[in-house]
Formats: sequence, structure tokens, C-alpha cells
Amino acid sequence: MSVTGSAGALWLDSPHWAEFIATYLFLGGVSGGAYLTSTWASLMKHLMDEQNWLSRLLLARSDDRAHRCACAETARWGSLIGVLGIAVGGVALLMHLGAPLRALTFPVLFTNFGSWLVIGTWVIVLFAVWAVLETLWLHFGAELQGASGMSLFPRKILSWFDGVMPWRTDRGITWLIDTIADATRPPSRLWGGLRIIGGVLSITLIVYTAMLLSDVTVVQFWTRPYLPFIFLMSGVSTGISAALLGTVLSGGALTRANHRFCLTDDAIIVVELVGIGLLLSFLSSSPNMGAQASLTALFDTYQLLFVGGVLAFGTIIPVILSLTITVLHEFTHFEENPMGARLLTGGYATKYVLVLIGGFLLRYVVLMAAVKSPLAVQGV
Amino acid sequence: MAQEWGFYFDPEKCIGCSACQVACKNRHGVDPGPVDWRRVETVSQGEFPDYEETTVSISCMHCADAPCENVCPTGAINKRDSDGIVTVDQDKCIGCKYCGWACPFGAPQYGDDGLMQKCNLCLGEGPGSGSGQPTKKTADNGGTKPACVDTCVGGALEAGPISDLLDGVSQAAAERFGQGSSSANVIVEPTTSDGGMGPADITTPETGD
Ligand code: SF4
Ligand code: SF4
Repeated sequence: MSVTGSAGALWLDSPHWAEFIATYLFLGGVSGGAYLTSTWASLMKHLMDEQNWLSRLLLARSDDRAHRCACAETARWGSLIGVLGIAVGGVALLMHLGAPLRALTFPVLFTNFGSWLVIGTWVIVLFAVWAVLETLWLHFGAELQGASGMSLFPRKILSWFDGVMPWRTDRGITWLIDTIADATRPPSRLWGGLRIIGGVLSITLIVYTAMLLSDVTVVQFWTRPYLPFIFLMSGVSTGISAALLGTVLSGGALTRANHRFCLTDDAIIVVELVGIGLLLSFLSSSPNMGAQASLTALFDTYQLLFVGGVLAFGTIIPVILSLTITVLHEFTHFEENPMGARLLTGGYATKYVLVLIGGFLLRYVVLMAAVKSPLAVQGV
Repeated sequence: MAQEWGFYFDPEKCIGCSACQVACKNRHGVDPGPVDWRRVETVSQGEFPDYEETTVSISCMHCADAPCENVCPTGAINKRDSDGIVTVDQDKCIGCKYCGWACPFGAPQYGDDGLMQKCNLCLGEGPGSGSGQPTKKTADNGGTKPACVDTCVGGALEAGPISDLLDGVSQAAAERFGQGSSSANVIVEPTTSDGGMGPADITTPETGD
């Protein structure tokens, strides 16, 4: 039993979850956030074509080709990262389990619908279906044959396979998937409706990653509503960062799409920081010994990871960096020389990478700083 | 629930010899190492010369509203209707360790197979052996005593239906058990230095107590 005696209390050490679960929680957030980003980018692109009151309000000018391309790339990157994130996250979860193969029989085995693990599993399954369909419809179809864009790399890989396989024909795997995508792709309005459901699913997915933890009432550090709120903000922020990192790699760093998403991300990060501040102040005013132990862990044992990794490099520096790039981008002619453009592109990419590292470290310290809870045997 | 079982512990009688811990390990064939279904720990209080140490022997408390059971995705954990003993069916456990977080007392243990095991009040021997066993009988009715109780040299530990246990305990212990804010099924005698609180009140403590 992982209980240790000490002054005045018994301490419960719970080193039950570490890197694998941190990865799972992180990728759950990234997946949900990236899907949301994808749907938002699709909406922006759609508005450019519509020219209605909403598009005028959101300044979706139809003459901005680069913006349109960046929106398409962002939508594709977002949906793809949604699929890849949840797939890798799922593998990370399975690797942590004592009986991973048994867990795969979840449709029959998971009977306790009051457990967040069961609720979360079904949210993941539903989300994965939505993300896979969105990726299928955005990445495949006869229209996309010969299209360029780095986000289309999955079809490039499949085309390559089609080319080297001994049974190669004109109608290879890519053709088959293109045909399926074209046959199943819903009409615009229905697709929009499906995206709204997908958006709700992604928010549920992000929030679930925190509810799983905050259902453990023994750990004050994971208290509601702070943790679910922080994870929601961080999930959306890391999702934007992952999808837009793709867009930057595709050459869309200097587009309005990237610029807007980057600023939205900044705003979310600031709100997330407020959430973290509120949680810290709640912990410091709590008389609970576990809350104090978590604070000590955050500012002592995990000081480097929390203060340096999460707060400084994961949130504050990315916002400063982003605002600096914005000023250079909007108010100077910096981007007009190749060196300047490269610097701005590098700046955006660095910001997104930092946000992603910070997001992972947040999940990691949230688990690690909770590993010690007091088991009181008062008066003994 | 017919008869809800639980433990009784008297810290004044515990000499901290850890015989219960070892007996439990032996009875259930638990490998040497960090996995312990029952553990003896020392809690210290005060500073010299007012320094005091108390040993406590703790295991699964077979909680009335077991938090571990509530979070387990597969229903591997079962608070039995017949005797209130909380068992784990290792054939259903996926080793997610969620129960380890949810339990306020550190009772769930994970062996090399990654599956949960813990005290089953000696319903059966070996990890996961408690589930599916018939209703626990008291020693008077031909049942076996839990290994820890059987081995305790000072008579500090008892186990049985709570109603039976309450018959033999001090009024203070009984009252405290009744008022306990936790759902843990353990009745604890107050110590002489105890200001009226004890493990039946096991809660998350506050600093400055
Ligand atoms: S002590 Fe822990 S393992 Fe035992 S019943 Fe209570 S919550 Fe479950
Ligand atoms: S580790 Fe096993 S017993 Fe514990 S919650 Fe997970 S499935 Fe249930």
C-alpha cells in the first residue's frame, strides 16, 4: 500500500498515472481543439463564398486567395490532427492499462455508465467517427486529384503506395477512397449540421479529460470547476496551435487566417492563465493539507516544469511572441523582405510549438502534483 | 444489506509489530515488494519532549458507499449485498488504476500483472479470489477469521458484522463511528491523547489541526 506515515497524518502516495495518461489527456485536448479549429476554418472559407451579413461582419473578403487557401489548409490540418491525436492518445491510454486487450472489448465490458472512464470512452468513439468522416470528406474526392497543399500528405502517401504496389492499376486505394468520399459527402447544410454536432462532441471530449480527474474528490488540486475550465481553454488553445502549425508549415504563416487564429489563441491563453490563477488562489486559501502539498509540489519539486514550462514558456512567452509578430506583421513592412517573412514564419511556428509543449507539461504537472494526498487519522 | 462487515482497531493495543501485514501477505500469496493489502504505519505528533508516536494498521475499509466501485468502468469492484465486503473480480479489471485514485485510503494495489488487488476480508485466497465467494460467516458460525485478526498479538484488530463489533467497543468508539463523516467501515478506539477524534472520522484533514 502506498501510504506513508509522518507528522500528524498519513500520506497517501498515488503514483498511479504519469506520462502515458498525461499524453492521453493532452492529445484528447489537442484533438478536440483541432477539430473545432477545422470547423471554424471551414466556416470562414464558406463565408467567403457566401457574402452574407455574417461574412461582412467577420470581414470574410472573397478576393483574398491566400486567406482562402489557408482556411482550406487549416480545416484539413485540423480534422487530420483530430484523427491522429485521438488515435495516438488512445494507444497511450491502452499502453498504461494492465489488461489493454481486455479493454478493447469495452462495448460489452464497460457497464458502469456512472464512471467518467465509460462516458469518456463513448465520447472518444463518437468523436473519432466524426473526425474520420470530416477528414475523409476534406482530404479525398475526385476534385482534389492533383491539388497541392502539405495537409494533403495522406493522399500523397496513398498515391505513392498505389504506384509501387505490384497490383497497381489506375483505380488504386486513392481512387477507392476518393470515390467513397464523393459518394458519402453530405450536402452543404447537412454537413454544417454534422459539424455543429462534431463541435459539441469535441468540447465534450476536452472537458471530459478534466472530468475524469475532477471526479476524484480526494484530490483538491483537481477541483471543479477550475480544472475543467483550465483544460477546456488549454485544449482549444493547443488544438488551434497544432492545426495552425500545420498551416504555417504549408506556407500560410502570413495569411489573415493564421493571424486571426493566432490572436484568438492568445485571448484563450490569457483566459486560461486567469483560470490557473484562480485555481492557485483557491488552493492557497484552502486549509486542506493536500491542497498545500500540491502547491508545494508545483512551486518546489515541479517548479521548473510548472513555472518555467507551463507558465513562462507555455503561455506567457507565446503570447508576448505572438503580439510582437502581430505588431511587426500589421504595422511594418517587415514581411516584404524574404528574411523578414522567414522570421515571422519562424516566430509563428515557435509560438505554436511552445503552446503545445506547455499544454503537455500542464497535464503532466496536474497529475504529478496530485500524487500526495493526506489520509487523516485524526487524533491518533 | 444483511450484515455489513467491517474492521475494529484499537491503537492502544497495537504494538506496531507488523505481524498482521505479514500474515495478510502470506495468506494471499502476495509477492514480496511494495504491494500490501494491509500496512502498519507510524504517525508522529508533537516535538520532544511532547513527542508521541502511534502505530496504525490499515487496509481496505469496505466503505459503505465505496468510491472505488463508483469509478470502476467495468464493474469489477463489487460492494456485496450479502455482507458488505468490497471485492474485485480480476477477470473484469482492465488495470486502469482509476480506483487507486478514487480510494481515499490507498487500499487498491496493483501487482506485476497491473490488475487491482486488495483486502477481501479473507473471503478467499489470492488476488481477486473474493469475488463470487459465498457470504462471509463469523468464526462462531464456522467461518475463518481474517489472517490479520488471527495473528494480531495484542488483540488490536477485529473483524465482523458492524453490529456485532459495536457490541464490544467503548461508548466513545461507537459514538464516533456513528458520527463519522466518512463511509469507511472501521471502528477505532480513541487513544488516551485523542481529543475525541479518530479514524472513524477519517476525512481529508485540515492544516493547523
Ligand atoms: S477503502 Fe478504498 S478500496 Fe476499500 S472500499 Fe473504500 S474506496 Fe474501495
Ligand atoms: S483498475 Fe480494475 S478494479 Fe480498478 S477501476 Fe480500473 S478496472 Fe476497476
